[in-house]
Amino acid sequence: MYRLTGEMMAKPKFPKSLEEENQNSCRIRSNAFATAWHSTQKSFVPEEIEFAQDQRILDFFDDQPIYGIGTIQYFRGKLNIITEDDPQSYKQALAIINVPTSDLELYHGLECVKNIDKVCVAVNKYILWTPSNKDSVTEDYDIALLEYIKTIFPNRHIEHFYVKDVKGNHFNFASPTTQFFITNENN
Amino acid sequence: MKIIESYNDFELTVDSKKKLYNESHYREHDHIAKRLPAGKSVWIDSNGDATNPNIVAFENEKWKGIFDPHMPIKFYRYFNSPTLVQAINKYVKPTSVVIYQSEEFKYLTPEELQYKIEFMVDSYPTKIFIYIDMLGIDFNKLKYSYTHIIQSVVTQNTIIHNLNDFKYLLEIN
Repeated sequence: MYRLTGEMMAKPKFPKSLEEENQNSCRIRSNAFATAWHSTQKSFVPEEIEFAQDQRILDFFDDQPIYGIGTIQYFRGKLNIITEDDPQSYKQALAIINVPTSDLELYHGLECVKNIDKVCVAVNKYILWTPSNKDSVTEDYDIALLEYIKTIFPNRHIEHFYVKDVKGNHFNFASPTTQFFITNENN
Repeated sequence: MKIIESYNDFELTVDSKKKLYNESHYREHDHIAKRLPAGKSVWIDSNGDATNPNIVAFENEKWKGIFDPHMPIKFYRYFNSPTLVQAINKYVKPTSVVIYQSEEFKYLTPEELQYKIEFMVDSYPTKIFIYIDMLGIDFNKLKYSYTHIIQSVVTQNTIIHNLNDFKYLLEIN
């Protein structure tokens, strides 16, 4: 028989020192460690590079202000990112989820950007969690994620990028490889 | 501007390998050290302290260039190799085997994780400690809870220590 010690599945306590300041009320946290890890991994290559997933984000947005939530620090200076004020006044939003986040936290965290015209949601699928098993969720994780995002952004056009069976080789913990590019149907 | 998709797109230098190894192998393992029985302890791909006479460190040979060649570190090619198992049991005769922050236990599916745990149990007739960061385990995290997965992969005679932040220490035998 196995035995279990300690409190199981307590709400994750992310060290305060690794949380970065978010100026807005959207509840997607940021991760200074991921930002630093992003820089460290890029430094492994001697020439100027961009990760493929980052380039897709850079290509998606135009020069208009972008409401940013989550671990978006890398894109400050590369995109016109704003983290203050009312999100509903923006036409573009970028949400990067790279901190342990429950399914409900993800849902509520994206509420504030769900009506914005152009949204990119990038999720490190390794750091999500659910407190209990959900029989109704599709077995294929990549498809289940897409279905979940569709419930938050119904009746929208969603372009879905992911690396099948992503392991440690694609810089996913520096910049999530699962991405949803959300626009209105007629865009 | 070059677009990079994966580590296959470039060669890591020795310095980069050192950074990579050190980022993923912290030496903060009091929760294991305090539980070790007397005798030799084998640490596999776990940044074992080779200066400690009671610790025998085995590292994956892909990291060979990053360690001080004067340190008594042993290297292996295949984790599942019967030769490695035999060498450890016959020549080190450890009282414990430790897996801590090991790449061998990252990015595994629950089935792969279960297989590796069973392999450890079948291979080493010692106390076994396996540290698992569930954030690094590959399964449908919208459908299954971490509690469910960790309980489904452990073998008999296992104590699951919950270290918080989704990290667990399995103490076997």
